[in-house]
Amino acid sequence: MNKLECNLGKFKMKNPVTVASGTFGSGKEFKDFYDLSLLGGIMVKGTTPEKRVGNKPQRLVETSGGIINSIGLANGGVDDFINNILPEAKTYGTEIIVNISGSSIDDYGYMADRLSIDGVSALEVNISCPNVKEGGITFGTDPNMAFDVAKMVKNNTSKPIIMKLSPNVTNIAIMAQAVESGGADIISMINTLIGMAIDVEKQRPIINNIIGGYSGPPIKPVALRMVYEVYKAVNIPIIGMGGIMNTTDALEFIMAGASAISVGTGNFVDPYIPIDIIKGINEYLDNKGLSSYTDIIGAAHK
Amino acid sequence: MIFKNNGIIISNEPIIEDFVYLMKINEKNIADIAKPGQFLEIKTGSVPLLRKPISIFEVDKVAETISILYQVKGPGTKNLSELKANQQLDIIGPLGTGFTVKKFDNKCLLIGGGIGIAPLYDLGLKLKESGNEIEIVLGFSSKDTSYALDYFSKLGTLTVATMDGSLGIKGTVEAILSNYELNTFDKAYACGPEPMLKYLKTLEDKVNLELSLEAYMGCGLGACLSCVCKMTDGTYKRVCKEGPVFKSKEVSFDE
Repeated sequence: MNKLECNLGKFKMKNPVTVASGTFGSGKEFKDFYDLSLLGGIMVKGTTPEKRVGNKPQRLVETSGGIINSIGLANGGVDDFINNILPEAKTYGTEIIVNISGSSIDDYGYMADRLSIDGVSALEVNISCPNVKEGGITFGTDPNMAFDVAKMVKNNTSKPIIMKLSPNVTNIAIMAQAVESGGADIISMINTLIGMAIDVEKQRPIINNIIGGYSGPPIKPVALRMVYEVYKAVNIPIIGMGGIMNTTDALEFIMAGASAISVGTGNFVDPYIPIDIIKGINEYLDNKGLSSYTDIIGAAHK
Repeated sequence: MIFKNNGIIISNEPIIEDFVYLMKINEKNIADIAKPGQFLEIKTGSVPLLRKPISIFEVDKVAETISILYQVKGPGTKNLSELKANQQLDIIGPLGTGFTVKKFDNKCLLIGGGIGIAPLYDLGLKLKESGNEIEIVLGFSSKDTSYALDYFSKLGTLTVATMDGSLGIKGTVEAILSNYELNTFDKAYACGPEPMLKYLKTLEDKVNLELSLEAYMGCGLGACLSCVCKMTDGTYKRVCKEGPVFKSKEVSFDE
């Protein structure tokens, strides 16, 4: 039997290893490396109602062991996604999780409705983008607004809804409970931490947008702690992410309470990390004599 | 096709100690298909986290090798400079869209500034193989910081400018090109610092010009959308995917 079969409520994946939105395009850029059907799912690059050109460069910099990015949700808009990206993506043989953003509550309803189509496996709702002026992170830091967004999406689709939480809050458990009450089926966490880097020669911020989202190995302990807290606070499954680079990192997230994990920045370092993690979790289970990875979900709480 | 393979370093020698190095790597898959102007993403060590995008300097399909000419600028290229023959190197490539190579009726011009000369050498070799006559204009800051001239002089007529005048003509490549009849060339190709590319863009009506751009990259694969450059139509294109080589007329350097 498949030891990695993953059931996130009504949303099922062949294994709990996914790739994070914004780090994998729609999958096309990675298909030379391996068969994408090996992945549990692909969270595609964030999509908005209209086309967005994104922020002025410089958009990314490596700093303190991680990276800061401020892309600004550059994408071709939902029509472009449906007409030009989804037809190919749905042939990959993996779950296609579409990451959606909007600048108003109504935008989220519109996106959910438009994407309630064949080929879309689930919606990941981005209420935590630090890099756009309107909407984005404000929805992710106010529990009432997060509740409203979740409810709006719920009312406009029958697809599984994954609410992506921002770590840039005082109490992540309250945010998690808010989206759960709003109708979220799953929580994904965490999005990037807001950070910055300064060029000391030029005496100016390196990222043109001044601030950006910090990701990579240094944020792992923060993400892990938040998954641990949210696991205790809600009854819906969690997709854990934040600096996962190898099997041990992934196992830590599962033991903290994640039912699935996502590799983000790691894809830039080594595109094979998600595949290595799938193998690595299987090996771990074999060594421990376990028949399913679900036996270790939340193990650290016991 | 893009490969992620472990190449074997054949040699890694300083051309100028602590400054510019030439590394030859045995990697058959990449050598088989790499085109002039394409680049590699190299994992230089555990730190820095990100791979370093490095232009391909020379490809030898028969010997199954690729070479890179690189300048030590930060921790990643410092790591590279410390690697020795027979060590493995984790490489992704070949990446990006390279230069147009074909037989032209008239001469081709290669224009390079500093380490930007690197992708022009393989281009020159392939243009020559295609039967083209080549002229080369290279700019450096000084004689002591100039390099690889022996390679380029084999391709065709080489003219050099240095900022301090210690070698060749004093000034930038502009000091040389301002005396050129650019319309006698069918094609010009350039790679170098942004001020040089901005100057060359002012010449784009005189000669068909391709520019190889540099940008800070995240993935190098087209996924992260970090390394974009502005186009004249106001959109952004990915330096790692649609580039690094663009037609000069497509690119905008306006803020």
